[in-house]
Amino acid sequence: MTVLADQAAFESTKRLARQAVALDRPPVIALVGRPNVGKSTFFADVSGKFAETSNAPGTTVSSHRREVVVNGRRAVLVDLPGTLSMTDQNESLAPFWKLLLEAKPDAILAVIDAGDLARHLPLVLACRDLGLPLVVGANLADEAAAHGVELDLGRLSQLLVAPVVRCVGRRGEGTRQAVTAAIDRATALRASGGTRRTAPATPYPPLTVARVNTLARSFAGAPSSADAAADSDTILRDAVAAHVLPPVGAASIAASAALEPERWDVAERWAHQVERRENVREPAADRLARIVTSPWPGLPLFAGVTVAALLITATLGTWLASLMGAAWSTYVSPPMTTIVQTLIPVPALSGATLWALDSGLLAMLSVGIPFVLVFYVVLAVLEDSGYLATAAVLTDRIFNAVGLPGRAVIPVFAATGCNVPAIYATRVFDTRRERLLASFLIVLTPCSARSAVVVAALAPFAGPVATLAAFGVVLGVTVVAGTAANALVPGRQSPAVLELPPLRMPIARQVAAKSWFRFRSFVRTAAPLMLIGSFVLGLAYESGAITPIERLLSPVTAGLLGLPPVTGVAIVLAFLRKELALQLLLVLAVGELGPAAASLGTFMSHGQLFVYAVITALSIPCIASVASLVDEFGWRPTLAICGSVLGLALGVGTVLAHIVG
Amino acid sequence: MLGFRPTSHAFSGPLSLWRASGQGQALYEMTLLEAAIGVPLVLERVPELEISRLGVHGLCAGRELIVEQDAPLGGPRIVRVGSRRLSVPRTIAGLLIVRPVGTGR
Repeated sequence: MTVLADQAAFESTKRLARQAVALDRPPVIALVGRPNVGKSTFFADVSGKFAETSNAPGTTVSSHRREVVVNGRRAVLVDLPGTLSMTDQNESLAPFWKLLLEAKPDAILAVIDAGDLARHLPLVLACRDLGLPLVVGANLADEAAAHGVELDLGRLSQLLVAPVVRCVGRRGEGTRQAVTAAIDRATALRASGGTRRTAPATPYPPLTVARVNTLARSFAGAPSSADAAADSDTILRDAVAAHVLPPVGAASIAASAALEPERWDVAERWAHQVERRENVREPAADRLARIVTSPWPGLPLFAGVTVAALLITATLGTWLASLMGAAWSTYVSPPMTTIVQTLIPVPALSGATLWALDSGLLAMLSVGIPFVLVFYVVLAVLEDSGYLATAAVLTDRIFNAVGLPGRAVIPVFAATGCNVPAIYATRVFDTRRERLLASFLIVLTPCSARSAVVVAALAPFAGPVATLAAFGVVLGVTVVAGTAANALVPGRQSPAVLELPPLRMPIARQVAAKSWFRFRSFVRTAAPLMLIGSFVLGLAYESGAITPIERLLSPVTAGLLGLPPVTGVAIVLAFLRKELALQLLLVLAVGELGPAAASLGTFMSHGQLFVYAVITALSIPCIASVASLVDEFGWRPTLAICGSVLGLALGVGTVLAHIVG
Repeated sequence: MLGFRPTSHAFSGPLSLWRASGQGQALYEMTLLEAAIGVPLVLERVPELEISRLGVHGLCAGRELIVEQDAPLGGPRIVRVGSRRLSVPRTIAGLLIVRPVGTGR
């Protein structure tokens, strides 16, 4: 008896302690909304830190958590991937409701498009049906006004039984107010011990309501046994037992198929009640959107934008590279050499250190940084303007030929910046087949580092025509390889509807923040690898270990590809970072052939440079891309992709060597 | 009527979905693939299997829409639903039954 009383007291103390801890921790606010409605912009604005955003559906493919302080109150914001419904899923992502439950939200902030209520309200209704505290952010209110749409927010708030806040996320209007309202709702619920967690009156037909209530009663029963299979029903039952969801919320998920058509009916009715539409002149952005998706002048414009993006990257990159390279050689290199040689008296060690600090950083400044930085700015402008989604329509038939929908243009174009995020972005595709085919194309697409190598190796020596020709060869090989892969990989393409975002003027602050965010992460990854790689290479060179590796590779490099033997080591070590392919080549050539080899043109012919550039652009992806492929698909598909790419690179290189070498 | 069967109507191309039932509405039905550009339409029917997949884009029965453009090279049809534009692949457009606004019911 005493033991039982002690046990009860202990359990009671534990429960109180848990409640105290729960009250103390900041409330979790989940951001929910359809793709491209501006959740990540919301997230970035409130947290004050950049989050990956773009004017294209499917930018967020995983959840992000961040602690924020709004008006002196702490909260954890969770940015969830855009979803069309609570049960939305594909082969690579769990159903949306599972991601939502994993976030354990205390409140939901549903972000909607104020100009397209009927299409956004069904998801808000699904959130409302969960029985969790809800706040609605009526975002893109400026665009709605431009289309002559005004909302009666008070009436909408009455219908939803939830606060509705007018927002323009891009300008930071209303975002903090909406999050504060969500914190208020979550805190009020906690303070009441969960007793206010009652769903408002349902707007659905009685038969549907009765069905949901019956289901809710079954969810209110005992939790699943520990050894039960982890099916949807079990997960929902456990969520109810853990007080993450009320029974009626779990029932609304289980009955999604029956509720969804009702939600669309209710959404249509409510939208008519709260929307006031005026006839206004069609906004210029809409007229422009039609022009850019029309065959004429849409297609020539697309070709122009693509070429302009490459030319801007090449021209500005070359100018920045020469500027920074000259400044380094004049002001940094001489004193650094003196200091290193004074501090490290051992010649081999001081030589290796200089390989890392002088040659390594110089190569990074004159090749990696200028081209990557310029490209990231160009990419950010195209993404934020909404032009990339437009390009998806224009290129739909082209991508169909390689078994992909037109929206593959978004990850493939992003791959021209960096392959790694592009591989993760393939999660937006519906089938594993499409993801594999898209990843294969992405790996074949030269990233900014590889493009920088092509431009820097060819533009100054063989001229811009040879540079464009190299990109043309890579493009041709990619199309042919993609078509072959489409024929070889079993399965068929599944057509899908794509929502076209409106064209918008990119905001300079966001473009700068996005470019800087990506560039910083690039430098953080590249710089240490570059320094360590150069140091190890310097040691190998100073100790004479490079020569045997060169000799081992020379049957391929010199025999098959007709390149100087020194290029073999550079190509192999470029596995660490692709921009190393050129930097290492220069460093090795200077070490082997003397200072005259500081320019590629002195020891390689134009034809050899062409072959080297194409092989570097096509060959095995860098270590980071391989890691992301393994992460997404496992070892076997990764090895198949890398093997195919390596075989292609060697094959194309051999053919080119015979033609131009 | 005296064996007359229209092969096309004022708004669009051939009427592939002509039904001899005599009901007026069927006369104007066509697939979204056949609908002419710029004509306001009502989405009449969505195949059972596609209801949930297309419904989330607002493509549900009763909804008004308009074909704005055809993408180049025989690409998707660009359709305006409410204030948003959707790119609808031709294979899907061929499954959706529409009729011009103001006809039928």
